[in-house]
Amino acid sequence: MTDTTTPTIAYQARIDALRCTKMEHTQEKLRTRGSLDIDDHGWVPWDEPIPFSVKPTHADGKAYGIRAIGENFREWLRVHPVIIHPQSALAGAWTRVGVPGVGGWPQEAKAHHLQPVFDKYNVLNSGVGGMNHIGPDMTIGLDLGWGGLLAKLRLWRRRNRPEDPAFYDGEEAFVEGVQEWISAHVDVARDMAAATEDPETRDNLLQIAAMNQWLVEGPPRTFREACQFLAWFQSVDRMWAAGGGLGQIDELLRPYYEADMAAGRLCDEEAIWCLASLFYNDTHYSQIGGPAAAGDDVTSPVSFLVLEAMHRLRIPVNMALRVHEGLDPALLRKAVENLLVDGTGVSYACAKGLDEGFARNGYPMPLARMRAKVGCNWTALPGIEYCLQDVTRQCLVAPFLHAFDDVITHERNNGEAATMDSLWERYVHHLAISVDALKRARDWHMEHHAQYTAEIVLNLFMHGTVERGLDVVEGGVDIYNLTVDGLGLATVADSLAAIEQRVLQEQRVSWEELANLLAGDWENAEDVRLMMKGIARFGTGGARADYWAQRVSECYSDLVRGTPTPKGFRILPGLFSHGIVNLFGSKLSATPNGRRNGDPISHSANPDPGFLPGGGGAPTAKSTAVAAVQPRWGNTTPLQLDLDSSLARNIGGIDSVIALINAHNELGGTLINLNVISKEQLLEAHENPESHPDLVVRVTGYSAYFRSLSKEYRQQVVDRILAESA
Amino acid sequence: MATAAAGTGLRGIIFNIQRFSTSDGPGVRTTVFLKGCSNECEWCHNPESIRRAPQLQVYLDRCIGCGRCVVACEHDGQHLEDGVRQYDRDVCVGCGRCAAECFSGALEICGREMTVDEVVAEAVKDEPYFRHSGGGVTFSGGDPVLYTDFLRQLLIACRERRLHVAVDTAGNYPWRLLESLLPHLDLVMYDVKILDPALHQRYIGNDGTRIRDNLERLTATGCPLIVRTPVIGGVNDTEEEIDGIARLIGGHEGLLYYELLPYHALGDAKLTSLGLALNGKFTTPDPTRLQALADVARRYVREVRPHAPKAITKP
Repeated sequence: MTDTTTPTIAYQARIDALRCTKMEHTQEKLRTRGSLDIDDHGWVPWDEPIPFSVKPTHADGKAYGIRAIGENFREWLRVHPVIIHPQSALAGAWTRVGVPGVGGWPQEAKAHHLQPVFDKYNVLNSGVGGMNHIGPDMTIGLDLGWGGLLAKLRLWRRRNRPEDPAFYDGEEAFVEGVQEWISAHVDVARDMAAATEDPETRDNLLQIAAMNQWLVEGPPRTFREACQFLAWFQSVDRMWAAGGGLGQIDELLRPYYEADMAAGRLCDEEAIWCLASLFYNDTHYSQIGGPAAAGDDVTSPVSFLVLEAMHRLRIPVNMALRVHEGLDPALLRKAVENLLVDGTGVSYACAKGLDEGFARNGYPMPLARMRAKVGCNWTALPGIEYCLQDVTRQCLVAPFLHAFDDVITHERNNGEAATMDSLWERYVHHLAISVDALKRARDWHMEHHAQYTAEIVLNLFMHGTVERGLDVVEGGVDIYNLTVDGLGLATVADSLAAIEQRVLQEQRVSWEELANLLAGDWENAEDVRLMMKGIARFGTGGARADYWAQRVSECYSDLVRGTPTPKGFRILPGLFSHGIVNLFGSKLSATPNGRRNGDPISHSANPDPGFLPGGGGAPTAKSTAVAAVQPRWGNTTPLQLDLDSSLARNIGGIDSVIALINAHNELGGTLINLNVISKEQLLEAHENPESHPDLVVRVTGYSAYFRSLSKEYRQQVVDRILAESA
Repeated sequence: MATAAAGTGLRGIIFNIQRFSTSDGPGVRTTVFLKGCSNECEWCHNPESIRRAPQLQVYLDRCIGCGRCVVACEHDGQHLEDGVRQYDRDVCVGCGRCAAECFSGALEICGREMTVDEVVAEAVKDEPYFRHSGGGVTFSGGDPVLYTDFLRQLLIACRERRLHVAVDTAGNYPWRLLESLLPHLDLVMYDVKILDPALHQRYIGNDGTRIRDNLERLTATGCPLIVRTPVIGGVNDTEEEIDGIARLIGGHEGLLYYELLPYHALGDAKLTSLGLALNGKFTTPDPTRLQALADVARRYVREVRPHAPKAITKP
């Protein structure tokens, strides 16, 4: 069934065709939707109306509850476009996130009682109703196939005989929908083949038809079939709730690769094409390399093929390389070599900080090592953990502004001079209220989520959900670790250090004057603004701002992790802002670190661009700073590095980057997002995005076309690289 | 000049400490730049490194006209006229009081006295990165060897912390200065710019005899050595010059490699900031020319590394 006679050049031509189509799609998305500041998903633009109307269960016209979701999802798949790229190894594509009118929470069920606290503390992502940010175990599906998954559902329905079989009704309807959707592709592939004159394309389409005919029921038997199964999964997973990932992709595919190679029915070139087709299908998150449960490295030939496929395809791909002490150095070197050529590539998930941090929660190290990077910034135990990562954000800056107001008001009313101690005491007070509200929000989510919506896709790929007939959120798995991600650390740390130095030590400006300047957004006081900004900032190393950054991180971490939610759920703190520092900042007034009213707040726990004296920002200094403020509970606090491409021209440039990655891992860092960009090219592309349509950057945890980003997001990347290569 | 700059006891004037330096020796390095040089190369890309004394650098485009410098200057060197800053360089003693009050970055003092402990505290910050890359600390300048006693203490202190140490030197001083440092060094990076004595005199201010003699003595010690030549278009970008230099250093046991560094005009902004005239007469040799010169050098030296030209960006 697989093709071992296609010459190398033909495979590359097919991959090139996929890239061209991807770029056309991106152009079309920009035309119809404008800029896109999120992950460059694999959805394809589709202009024609899709004839679907939801069968509602609620007065608001929407369908809630797992049974209605499954049935509506099946209907949606019946009318969803059937798309096959004739040069791809795989069939299928998806056209939008979400099934229209299906799932989510009705308005009246949301956590309205917490909204006043959220408004006060600039909580824009409370996590209530958050979906999908957990890790599936894809071996469940690869072993069973869609037919096997359906049989498993029926088996456990019979065993459990639930009083309310809604779970099984919904899941079965969904799987049947997927099977019907795959069947539709079989027919279309045959029709396309019949209409195709080019014999190689026709053969490919017939292979796609035959492969998918099998996959309607059967589990994948070959490398290509396994890739096709993963493509179906990620298509419906994205369609449902956008997030999620595939897991340790090299290990998932290795058995198929080895069997095919041993049988002589696969060559590396074909494997690369299959992988490129999978990455073209979607940018779902995966991981290569890293430690197995026992600690030994899992790097295999498939790990290298993944890198090669990314390198040849050159579109945004969300792949992580798991760095650990025992990592095959050749894999890391290959990844960095590609980075220096392509400018972007994998992100680097740091096993030491992640695994040791997770183990501190009382888990054995072998279990901690099983956590895989399957999301933008985050990791999860595939198939056994509900963690709902990356959907809850704690703004660290808003509590600071309230604290500052408190000490000023107190000084005005009582004549009692503000101190660092009084400011800190108020900061902890406000941060604690905000964190507490987020914990209550998490409880609200856990209590009500399954009433309205369902992890209808991921439930199939978890251990326990089908066996118990329970959604993953309501007891379907055994391990529950919820998460919160803080942002704006440098804004707070630099503000505290600036007050300490300029107000208290040097007495250049009084508390009262500073309060008035902040209220007036530094009007007519540019010199004072620059004076407040011009302290030894977070990232310097050994500066007071570094001390405050560590103290804020520890305080935040203790508040989050120190006590569970009122209902007993453990929350793991991280520091990650995605890219939405502009939105958060837009709602906040000026801060004592020289930030103006409405300007972005600091990104995650990264020092601000130009943090070193004189405006530079050595990557080593940044790496050390971010490693030092890790909460160390298994959630991530990523390091964002943007290096100038002149590094690539230096002899030893690769070794320097490798050293940076290994040292950050050793220091306890958790994730490195790395770009290597030519300053000239980036500035040109910022000025005129169309001048470099194929420029891919790692924005934060995710990759995207630079031209797809809004001007504000592009500016973030530009600021970073200008400062860091100064 | 050499003796005037040396003998500063246990303090040195440092004008920059650059972390994640990837072209000043092997691996990831922190390069410590000491101020003061006994050569006066016209093309110097660090013109602020030549004089030992701290100097004021002025970047007018950053000035916001706040006037803080006017009251800070005890010598009446700073004025505001119609909100535009005026500066009298003749009365400036480089005390840095104005720069300390200038938060816009328009005034920066180049050169700050530091103790051994202060320098080492900066150097050790990147120890994990040194360890993972075989890197370490490079003392550059100016010419750091002129700070012989201070530098010796720095080298000893770094080595006590198991840091690999290199010295980047231009060689124009009595041999005993460098000789006394060799036991405390892991690597010497030695600049040889021009062999022709007349050209050397014209562009560097001395005929280069002492530099060549010191190189000869250095190579005889077998000390690990990298020789570097800045290739200046219109000055030494000739086969004769490179052939002569390569012939001089080829075959020596300690020589790790020979680097050809193309001239770049990154020093121009600094010249302006120091109130010095741009020379504008030097050019950057193109990569093909540099490769051709590298091939000439390879007749005598096993490993020759021509560097890529530095990009100049105007954001």
